[in-house]
Amino acid sequence: MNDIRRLSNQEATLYCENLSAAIRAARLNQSFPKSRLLCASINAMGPDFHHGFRDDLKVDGYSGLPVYSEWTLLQADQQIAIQSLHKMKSLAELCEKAKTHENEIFTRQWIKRKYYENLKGAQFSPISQTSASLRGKRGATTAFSVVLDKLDVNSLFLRYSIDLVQNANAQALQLSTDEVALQSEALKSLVYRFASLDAKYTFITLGAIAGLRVEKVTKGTIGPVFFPGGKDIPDWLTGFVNTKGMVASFGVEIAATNIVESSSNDPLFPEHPNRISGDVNLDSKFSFFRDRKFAVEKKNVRALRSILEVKGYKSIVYGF
Amino acid sequence: MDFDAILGKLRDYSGEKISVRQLEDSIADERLIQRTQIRQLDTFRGSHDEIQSSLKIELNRFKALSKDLQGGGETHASFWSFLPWSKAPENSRRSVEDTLRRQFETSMFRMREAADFADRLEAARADLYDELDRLNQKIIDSSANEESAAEYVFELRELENALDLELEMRDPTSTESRTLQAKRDRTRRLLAEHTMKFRLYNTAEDRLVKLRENTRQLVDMIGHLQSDITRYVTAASEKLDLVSGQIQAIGAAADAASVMLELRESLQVMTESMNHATRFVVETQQYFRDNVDTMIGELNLYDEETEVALEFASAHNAALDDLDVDAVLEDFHKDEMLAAKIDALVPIEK
Repeated sequence: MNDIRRLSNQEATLYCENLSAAIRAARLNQSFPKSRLLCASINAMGPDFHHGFRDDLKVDGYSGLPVYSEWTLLQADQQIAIQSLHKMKSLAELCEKAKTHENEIFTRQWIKRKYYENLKGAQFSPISQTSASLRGKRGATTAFSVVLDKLDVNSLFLRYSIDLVQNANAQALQLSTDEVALQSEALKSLVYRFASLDAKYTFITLGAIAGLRVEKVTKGTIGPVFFPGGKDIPDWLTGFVNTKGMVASFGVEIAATNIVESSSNDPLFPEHPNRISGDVNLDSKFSFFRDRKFAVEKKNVRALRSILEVKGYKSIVYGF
Repeated sequence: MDFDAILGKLRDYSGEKISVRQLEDSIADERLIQRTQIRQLDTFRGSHDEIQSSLKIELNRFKALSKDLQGGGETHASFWSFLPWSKAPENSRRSVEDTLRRQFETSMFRMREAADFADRLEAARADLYDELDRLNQKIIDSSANEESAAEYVFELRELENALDLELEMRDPTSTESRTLQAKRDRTRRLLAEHTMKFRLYNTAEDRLVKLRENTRQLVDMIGHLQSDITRYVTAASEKLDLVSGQIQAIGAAADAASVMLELRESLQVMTESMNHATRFVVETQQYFRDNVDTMIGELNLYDEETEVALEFASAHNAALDDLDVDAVLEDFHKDEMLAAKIDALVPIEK
């Protein structure tokens, strides 16, 4: 379900500032997409970066993150900036023209040049990227890590990290001559499809593939972010979402063989993740853990912690 | 007739001073501007060609994707093989969602590229309108100066006739007659100089008017292209906006057969966007072919005509420098069109 909110440039300025501050404050580890690149992308969607070149910012009402087309636009604009800058007049010429000419196109070209120059050297978060790495060789088996970063169907940015071990006869992953891990198209495709599903499901499905043994599946999710005008804000958070404030949440799901007992510390998805029983045909049993941390305005940190404690959660709350 | 008053008149021409050299430089400057504009148009044609060839590749990809989605060439078993509960998911094909997204991203890039192109065309058009204003001002200056020169030439011609009459009535050796002869020589000298100026302003006006026509043609061409590409950008962006929502809504379910119909609809919308783009490039390709080359040909012809006019003016200028006033005036007198133009420009009461 999508509910798109169009933020005016004025609203977008505050939104982008708050969201990047929240992501930076949350000290995201390797289970999440790279926060530096993510913040760079979000900042670039704000008017301070594009100087008003874009009219508005579309944000998904439920996830609280910019919608898919916004990320795509940024990516497209950066490609165009690289190929167009040399065809444009200098910034000084365009500035002079914009100030002296009544036709708005020159102001637009001036703004565009400034935006393109900002885009030229910037590094942004990829909308979707997959990679594999070698963790080690154990006799006839090889241990790999597969990572997928993706803006998922719900407009949530997530990272799927899978640790698996492959038998000598399986072909899901291969090593190049210089020991670089290469994923087969089939595996890439499979992981891509499972990205919106939970880590438990992926653990089971991948584990069913002959020759593969899954050790750990981690899914780190940026969002939902609760912002003014957003949808489905839990009652206990509405007090923190006012005209200026927002609450960002960051979820982690881990399905792994080395977790002692399944548990959840996620107040947004409170159902208890039952341990998978022996009826699933897997080489190894696993347990499941779910956690969520929050970032909120500094002045609200203590209040949110108290609410979470009362609800029985030990979630970490950061201030920005 | 007040001979001294007419001879003592200081003709004040507006705008740039004129001489053969200045006219040559001025036309060369204008031609440089126009050559730059044509080169810019040619660059636009180049950008357009690039867009066209990329679109061809994309269109083929769309056809392949459409065929794939319609199950063309696939067995029933392999069609279902991507489902997670399939016995051999490792053999599954590439994710449909991934494929759709990649195609969407390419289409988005293409649309933004076209929007950027439309902006460049609009800026170029605004520049050309400024150029038209500037050329028009120069044409008005030249025209006013031409009229002013014609008026003075007319007066000097009448003065020359009057002096001839006076001289006929006097003893050619008298001091009075010598004074009149000196005035007559001065009159003829001024007549040659200002007829020369008249011719130069006339040439300048004529050349500038032709350059203005070319600039107008450029404005029309760029305006035509800009309006076409803007139409395409508007249509494509609306469709892509729609399809981004669909892709996101379908999401992972894109890989389930139940949403095949919606998928095909998304693809259909993207294909319509591509069709707009393709139609646009085919039409503009023809437009470029018909107009840019013709325009370059016309400008070459313009250069040849300008060269002839300037050579003629240059020869007269050399004669004036050698004080060969008779030769210059003889040539001007033979030029009936020039004489007629002077008569036409001088107010009736004169």
